[in-house]
Amino acid sequence: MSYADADLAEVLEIVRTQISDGDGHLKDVQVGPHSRADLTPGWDSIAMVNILFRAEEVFDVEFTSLQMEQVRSVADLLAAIAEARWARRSVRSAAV
Amino acid sequence: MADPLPLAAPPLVRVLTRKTRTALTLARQALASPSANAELLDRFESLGDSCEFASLQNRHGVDQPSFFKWRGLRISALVAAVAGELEGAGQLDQLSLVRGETIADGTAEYMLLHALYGHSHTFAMTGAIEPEVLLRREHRRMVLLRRKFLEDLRSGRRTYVFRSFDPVADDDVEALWSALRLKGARALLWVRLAAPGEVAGRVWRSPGGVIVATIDELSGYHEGMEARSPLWLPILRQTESMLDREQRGFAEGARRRRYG
Repeated sequence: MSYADADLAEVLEIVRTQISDGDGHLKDVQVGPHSRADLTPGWDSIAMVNILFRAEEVFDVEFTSLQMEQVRSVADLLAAIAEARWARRSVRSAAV
Repeated sequence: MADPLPLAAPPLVRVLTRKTRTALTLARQALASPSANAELLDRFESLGDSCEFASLQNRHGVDQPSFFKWRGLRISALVAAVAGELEGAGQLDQLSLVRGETIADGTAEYMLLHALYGHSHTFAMTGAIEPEVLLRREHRRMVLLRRKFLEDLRSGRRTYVFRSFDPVADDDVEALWSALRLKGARALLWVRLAAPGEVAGRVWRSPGGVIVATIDELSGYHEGMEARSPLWLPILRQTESMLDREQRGFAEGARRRRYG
């Protein structure tokens, strides 16, 4: 499995487990590479924060506010993770 | 906008013309595309003191994560929160869950209570999630939302909206604006009920720098989260127009100072 595939699998697991149906139930929704927040029941701003927080933990990154707002789909989340990783590497390189 | 009527126009004509202009504005508003309304609403962020503005945003498809949008904090606490950069927001020992109002099926929403920042909605119902799990989830949310709020504040990207159903002193609102501006905020819009004799839907800049708007109707604290007034969007548009004009004025002034 490539790094990209591993990231996708991880992101899908994060989104799937963090979505709530609004009453606090964590339900097993179907989430795929093309899933979008506006078309996925339960993926609201409450769930979004949980998804972002978990993604930060799992991928050891920190999103900017703008990146958080731009995440509207699984693809957006993958892109934000890639950007945040690049930013983290840039900071670490500059510190050396 | 300059009054196009000459000063000598009869008062009745002036009143009717103003009413007609208001009606036309509202009609134009109704015809604005949903995406335009959503983009407009997305440029504002609620500071409370209820969930009314956040519910208005939600109704138009705007649902950005935000620290204060589902929180009811009175203005004095809000000023302290902003000035102190939400210190303590991320402390788990400051959090607890309380049961909200019981609904027909006997369940209730868990409300999150922070010792410093008051109550906020969790939208999680009793019996549906373990309280300990919910508390840990809400703690994580507060940590992230605090960070986001402070970053947005410093960036000056948004105009903050504070609406007050109960009377609030001008000094308190000025204090809030001072606290926000010190941290980098672009503008504060204070929406309050029009007093007797005041025209609803007016927007102006106070001497202290707060953008003030009067509205005809606000939801009470126990009336749920329905924003009923049709004047919300026109008020937001007027606010944006005012800020844009001021920004153009600043830019033009800077250009003239530089180039003569």
